[in-house]
Amino acid sequence: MKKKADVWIYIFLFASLLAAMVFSAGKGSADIGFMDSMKILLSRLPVIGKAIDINNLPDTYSTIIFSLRLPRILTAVLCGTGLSICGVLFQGMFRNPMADPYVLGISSGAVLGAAIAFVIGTQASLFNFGLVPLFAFAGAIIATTVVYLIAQKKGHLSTNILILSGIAIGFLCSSLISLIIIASREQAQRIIFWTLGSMTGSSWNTVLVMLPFILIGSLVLLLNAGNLNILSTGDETAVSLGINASSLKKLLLVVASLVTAVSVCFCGTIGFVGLIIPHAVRFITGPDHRRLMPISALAGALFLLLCDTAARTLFAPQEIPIGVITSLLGVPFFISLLVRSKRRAVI
Amino acid sequence: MKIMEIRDLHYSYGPLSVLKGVDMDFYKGTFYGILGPNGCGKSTLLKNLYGYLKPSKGSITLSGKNIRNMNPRERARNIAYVPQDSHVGFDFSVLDVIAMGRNPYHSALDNLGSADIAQIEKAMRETSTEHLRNKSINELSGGEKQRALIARAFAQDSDIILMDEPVSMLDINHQIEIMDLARNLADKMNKTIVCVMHDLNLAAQYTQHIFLMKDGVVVGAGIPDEVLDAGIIKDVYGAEVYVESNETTKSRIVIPLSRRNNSL
Repeated sequence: MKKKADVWIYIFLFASLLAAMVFSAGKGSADIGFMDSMKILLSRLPVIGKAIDINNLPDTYSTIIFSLRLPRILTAVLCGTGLSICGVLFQGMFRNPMADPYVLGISSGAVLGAAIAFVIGTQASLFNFGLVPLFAFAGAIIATTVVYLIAQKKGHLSTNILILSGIAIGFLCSSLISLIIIASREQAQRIIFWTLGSMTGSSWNTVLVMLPFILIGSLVLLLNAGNLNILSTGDETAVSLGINASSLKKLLLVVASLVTAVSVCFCGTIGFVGLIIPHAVRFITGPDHRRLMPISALAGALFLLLCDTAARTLFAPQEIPIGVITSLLGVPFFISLLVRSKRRAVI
Repeated sequence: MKIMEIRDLHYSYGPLSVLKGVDMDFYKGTFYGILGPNGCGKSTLLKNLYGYLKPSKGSITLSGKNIRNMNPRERARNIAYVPQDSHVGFDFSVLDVIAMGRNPYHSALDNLGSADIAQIEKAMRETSTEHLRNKSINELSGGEKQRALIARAFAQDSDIILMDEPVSMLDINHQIEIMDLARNLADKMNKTIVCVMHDLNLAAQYTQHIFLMKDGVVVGAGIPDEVLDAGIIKDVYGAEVYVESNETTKSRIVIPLSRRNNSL
């Protein structure tokens, strides 16, 4: 049952997200400041834009914000949304609090793909993208497909076999990655950096590719939030309540895998977000996926954007991998939730 | 009025044949017990009835319509199911769980309407779960949880409710409470209850018709007084029992006899 208070949570998160976007756009080696950054962003909006005068600000500010920072901000927002919403899905569908978007071997498949691309050489490109995202995407999809094929039998999908074959394929990919690292030491650091995630490579092209995947994918998952509630009580019960459990699971798996793969292939395997955001939000909303999913999406976007802003500004000009920040910022917050929570027994 | 008909139902898990030609008829407002030793196919039969498993041969028809020709929602509007494993997983409130019973009447998008709310309230009244509505399903005792799951099945507003050993985990007081509730659903609400059970004495006391199964076929059917006979039980379960008609319960009492010292 929905609660009235949810409206305020949505307003709060949405306003925070907008504020964080403006803040992040102003932050960096050229320190533009919150108000000026807001002016520059608003000036590009239809109608309102005409009323805003940015002639007193240097042109370079505009260029920095629109060609460099905004695409990166949007990439972080999309990636955070995708990973959190998929985390909610996998935890709900597998009835397993340890599940995250990478549970089906997506991350290790993506890393393997990326590692191969690094070794082949990153000069080559296709559709304006380097080889790395393409190979990472392919690796993610191939790994998940293999996991899926192992687990499905006569149209039935066994959750335990899915998780186990995900782990198995994950280990297989990891050992191949280790082989690659040993064979090509000069690429080792780049591969390891990639596994920790980074938004450095993002551009408007990244945003344009990610947007449809994440938008449509998230929409499909959100529309199925009610079904996911029922699915999370077990397949047999779900069937008895009128849900075609196996075809619903397949649909959700395919969609979530695509959303995760597209996030990972551009930003690397950012850990923690997809596992912890759903839990943190569940403390507030309870298990109802109709509330948990949209609120997690917003919270994940906000969290990853803040982490990325920290990643590129804290030790500028040196960038810190975002995976390091997500854990450094997220763990203390999450542990404080764990300690305070009365629901702890049920996670 | 006949409501459900099973004809020549077969089911196998791979090479293992579990149901080998089951025929049963079910009438409206009647409490049926399905009995038989472990592994005789009782639970498999239920899973075929609510559509989780697909029969390898034979048919299950509701008023002439094969349930395999119904979509899952239509099937769920006709047949509800109270699972044996009552583990719900996440910390849903009792109200949320009962409201799930309205799923077959909705697409993914629309919210509960007033008719749904009315049915949910009615389900909570009938099962005395109103005071539990805001509790987490995982905080409930075994008996309360079973009542909540029966409420969910009742909210489905189906003519048929299947139950898989609803009282096997409960103490005697709660066993009686749940069985009374189930029998009332048949008597007062005109539901057809199909209940898989192990306890022969509860079956004697509560059911109106028993199907006794062994090795995937029905080996005995009829009113409890006919079916619960020492000879038949010995054939089916392989156990010696003492059976008598009890004055207090007005039903048969079955007492398994130890093989250690045959005192009778």
